[in-house]
Amino acid sequence: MNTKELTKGIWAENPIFVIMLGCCPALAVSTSLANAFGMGIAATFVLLGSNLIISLIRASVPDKIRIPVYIVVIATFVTMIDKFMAAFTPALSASLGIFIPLIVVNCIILGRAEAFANKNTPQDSILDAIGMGLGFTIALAMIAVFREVLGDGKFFGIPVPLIKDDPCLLMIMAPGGFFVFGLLMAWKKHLAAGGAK
Amino acid sequence: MNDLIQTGKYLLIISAIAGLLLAFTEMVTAPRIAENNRLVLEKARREVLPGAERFDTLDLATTDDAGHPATRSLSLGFDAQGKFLGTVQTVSPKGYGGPIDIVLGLKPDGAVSGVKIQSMRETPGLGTKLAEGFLDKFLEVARAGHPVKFFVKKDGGDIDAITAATISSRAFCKGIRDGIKVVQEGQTLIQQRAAAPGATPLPGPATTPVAPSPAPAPAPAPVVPPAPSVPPAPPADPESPPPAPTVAPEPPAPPLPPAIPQGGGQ
Repeated sequence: MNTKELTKGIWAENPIFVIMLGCCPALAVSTSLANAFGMGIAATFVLLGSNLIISLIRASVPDKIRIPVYIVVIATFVTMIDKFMAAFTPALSASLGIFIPLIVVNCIILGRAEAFANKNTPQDSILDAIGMGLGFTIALAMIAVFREVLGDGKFFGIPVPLIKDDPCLLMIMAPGGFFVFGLLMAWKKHLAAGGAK
Repeated sequence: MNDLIQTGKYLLIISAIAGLLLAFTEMVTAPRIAENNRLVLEKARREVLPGAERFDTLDLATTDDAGHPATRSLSLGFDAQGKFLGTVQTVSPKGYGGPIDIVLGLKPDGAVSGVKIQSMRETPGLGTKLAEGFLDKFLEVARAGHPVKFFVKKDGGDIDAITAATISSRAFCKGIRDGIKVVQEGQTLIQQRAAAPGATPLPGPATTPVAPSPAPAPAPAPVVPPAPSVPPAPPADPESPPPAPTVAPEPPAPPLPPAIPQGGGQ
């Protein structure tokens, strides 16, 4: 088992802070921790399925048309998950269902299909998907902690004393998302470059 | 050329497989999804009209935004004794990411008895706040005093919009206004139907036939449906007598009752 494929997505090749894929949903959904985890879990699940399928069929896909093929595969898979969730786990669908349309346009899914599952074994692709999914979830949660606490005065929906009466609304809006995103990315680069100088 | 055929064939096969899988998925899940939605709707109806035990469906002809005739399905809620408690309907205003399905309960006097969001595709964290803090505040305002102007404050109404989600908030208010309008326009039929199932005395002044006064001219002809459009189906409850004979022969006599004294429909 190649643990590097699993761990790289969490830190060294974090999809949000390093590869910078999926920034649109990251900014849209990182307004609360509950949403961040919901989106993260749903995306991880879809990523797992799409990576697995694409690594399985990669040998037979003609190179010229691989992108349209991936798009058909991913779209089919996401639609099926959406429908099955709505039919058999309505409660889960009620909490994660709103993220599904966002996942369809999440470039992490296609990005990993093209950059990894396309060239690697199904086993490694699964590890990659889990790692990338976790990295995405953690990154969302990190942004969401700042935005929810500062912008909404809450932590996981629980009001935080002092802040809750007069939260900084800017943080919950798009500019606040960019601020937190940028600062965290800088911090990550700083650490990766060898820490304090 | 040969290459073109090869790749074309591959795409065709992949798309065919995808199509088959999707068709299969739809076949397996569609009935269950419909059933789930029905259960959720059933629950929502009881939530927005507290105390209602039995619902009776009534189809009203109305007009949509573009002025085309449309049918709106209303549920009339009755408590265990057969007393008319109000109407429940689903309104679907167009939000930021698609229609927002709202289950709206209105009391016989036109006041909002409850609101629940059934489904929406608003932006998570922004528009989806409709279902969180916004809804509680909305209900507080809607129940506190009337007439309530169901517009966001920016548009001169009484409702606090969600920060950074004005479109969603506006859509929500529009849905409520639409719902109130449908009930106002269908007052005559609703009252006939409300009176039909049981011989119980009608609650409140709103359900007693009101003297026709020149109501604010409400749209063109198709607004008041002819009597036959009342579905002759008996109410769900087998105990009560079928209302059909009572309803059918009566023409929708007064063109319209005066609009309920609510700020909403303007």
